[in-house]
Amino acid sequence: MATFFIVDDEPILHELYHDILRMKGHEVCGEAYNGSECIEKLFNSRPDPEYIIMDHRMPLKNGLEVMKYLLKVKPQLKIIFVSADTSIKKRAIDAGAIMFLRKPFNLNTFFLSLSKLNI
Amino acid sequence: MASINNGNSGNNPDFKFNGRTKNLLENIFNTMNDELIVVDKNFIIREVNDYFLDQYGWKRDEIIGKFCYRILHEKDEPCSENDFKCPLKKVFETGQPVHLKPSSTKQKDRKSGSVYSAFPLLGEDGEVKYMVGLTRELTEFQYTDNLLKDSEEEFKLLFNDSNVGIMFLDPTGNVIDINPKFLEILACDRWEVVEKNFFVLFSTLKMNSVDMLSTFDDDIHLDNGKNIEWKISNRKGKQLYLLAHPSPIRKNDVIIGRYVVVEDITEQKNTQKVLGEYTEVIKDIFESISVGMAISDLEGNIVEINEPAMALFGFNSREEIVGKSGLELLSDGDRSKAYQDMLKRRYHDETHDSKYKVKSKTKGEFDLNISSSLIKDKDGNPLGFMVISKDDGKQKGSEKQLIEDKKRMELYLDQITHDVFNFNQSIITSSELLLNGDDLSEQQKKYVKLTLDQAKTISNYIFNTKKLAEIESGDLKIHSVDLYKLFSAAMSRLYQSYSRRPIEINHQLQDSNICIQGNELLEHVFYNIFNNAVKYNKNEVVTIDISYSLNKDEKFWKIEIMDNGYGLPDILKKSIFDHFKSGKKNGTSTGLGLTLSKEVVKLCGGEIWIEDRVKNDFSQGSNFIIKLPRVS
Repeated sequence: MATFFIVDDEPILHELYHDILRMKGHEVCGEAYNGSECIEKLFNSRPDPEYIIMDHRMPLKNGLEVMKYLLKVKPQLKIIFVSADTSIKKRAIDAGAIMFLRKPFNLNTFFLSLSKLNI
Repeated sequence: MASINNGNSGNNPDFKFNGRTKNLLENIFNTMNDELIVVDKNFIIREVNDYFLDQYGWKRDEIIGKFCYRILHEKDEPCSENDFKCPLKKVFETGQPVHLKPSSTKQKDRKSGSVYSAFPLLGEDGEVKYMVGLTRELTEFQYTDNLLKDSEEEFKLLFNDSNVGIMFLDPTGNVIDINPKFLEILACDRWEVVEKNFFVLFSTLKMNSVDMLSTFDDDIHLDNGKNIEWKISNRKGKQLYLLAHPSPIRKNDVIIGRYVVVEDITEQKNTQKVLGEYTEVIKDIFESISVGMAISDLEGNIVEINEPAMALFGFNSREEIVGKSGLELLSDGDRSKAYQDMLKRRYHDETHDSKYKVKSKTKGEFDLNISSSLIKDKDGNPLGFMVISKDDGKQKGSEKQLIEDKKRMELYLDQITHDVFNFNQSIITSSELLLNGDDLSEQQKKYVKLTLDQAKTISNYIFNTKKLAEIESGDLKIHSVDLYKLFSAAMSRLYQSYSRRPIEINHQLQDSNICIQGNELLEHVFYNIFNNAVKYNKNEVVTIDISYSLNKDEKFWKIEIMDNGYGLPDILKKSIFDHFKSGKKNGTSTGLGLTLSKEVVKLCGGEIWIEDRVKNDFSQGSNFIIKLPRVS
């Protein structure tokens, strides 16, 4: 079982992430709907979530900015970058994301990707 | 030949006469109304007659014994070849008389319009002792006659050697004379024209009556510089356009004749006609383009001009500029340079961009960027020039607007793509979760599957459209890529997409170490082909065989992807790559997938096409062949 923190501005996707992660026995320990909220919540969170599912295009701060900031403060965080914006893939990986998933992904692809990370 | 014995003659010991002869000769010498001068071979004046002294107002002792060149020409040395053509030397050399043409250069106080002759005077030894110079004034008639004779020579030269046709007519219209050039234009012999009536002659040459009458209409061309354009057929049947300038010859307000000067403008007219047709063809562009544009003939005369160009130069109508030289629109300083540039374009077929200072009626002088190129006919013969002028400010403005519009469109496309992907994620995940559950009937599952498939289709479609747009914008770059890596990623994706479908992919790529010129989108191309192989395949096991080889010149890798699917009939093999061009969806189209594949392969410098896996039997499956540039 692993703990996940969901960061995405689409509420419906939060629900779906909950459901699909639960399918595999994992838990969603927190969520945020924009970059600033994410920083605020994660800065003070104890314990840290094992994995963060991070969207890119969000209000206030985008995923890349948030990820760079978070990794400076907590370099141990493991961030899975998920975005419909494929042009951001290389920058996300270079900035420290452990994986990049392109939206829309099917369940198979999602679970296969998690298994590659030994999740 | 006069011969003088030395005698006692006052100051002239060389002259000897008996008393009677001397008086007679002296009388004749001094009463002649011609100037007489006697000069020895040392240029010393030995004698002059009274008439000579009267003409110049000298006294005898002022000039006798003096050098002739000093007295007559105020020089310090004898006249040279470049000065007054003194006959003295020639007379002494040849012993023959010399006659000069009527003088046109002024000597000291000498009137022009006189004839000068020099005669030798021999001594007893037969040698020329003196030169006797005689100057006779011509009467006005004689002078004019001589001048006319000279002028006539000059005129004949002009008339016969002219590059324009010249014809003289009497008051009734009969041809008096015609020059060789005009005869050449008409392709007539002289006898066919001279003494013939103008109207009769040119009727046979198919000139229309309006032009004939205009030629004789003095109200039209009374020195007002107006020309008439003649259209005739010469004796050889060739249709010609001539620019005619007719003019009456008057004396005391009475017309005593006419002359007509003509220039053959046939080539110019034909060029203008072809250029005009050319302009007609590009009329839409010509009228709608926002930059100034003009068409000229090879001499730079404007044939057509569009509104923006007219506005640039302050012209209100085409008539103000069409037919005139475009070089006139340039400032004096740049005209020569522009002419040289024009010649370069004409003879070296160079497209030329340059900045010139131009003159506008409304804007005064200003700098203008001008681009011009040669227009040729279908046989490659030059016809004229197309000139495009760019007013920097406006052009930059238009370009800026276009760039901004493009950026905005790209932004919209990007945002739409992102948002649709996001929406689709919800649909796909929800649908998949539904399908994973046990609560749905088979029928319901079928509907959910349909929803899922359509959502995936939407995603693919949006993705492909975006990539096509990026390719067209030149935003996608190509570089060296590892072929196995691309195939590997595509195969991995395929297995994930069809985890429950047995798929067998046979290849030897892992050891191939092949590098090609490409882009990461090639993974998408390969996935697309694999996806079609699975999707359109009724076999229990999907088989995909991948092979590769180098082409003959070893510059390209040829990759073949063979499947055991439905295959494609010949009629669809090409059109399946052209989703937009075909104008309609073909039966097995997956949307833009193969269209994008073709564009990606093309971007990489390669080719893609489809053959049958089994020759002439498409039902056994397809063979997708991709050629990609090799990178060593």
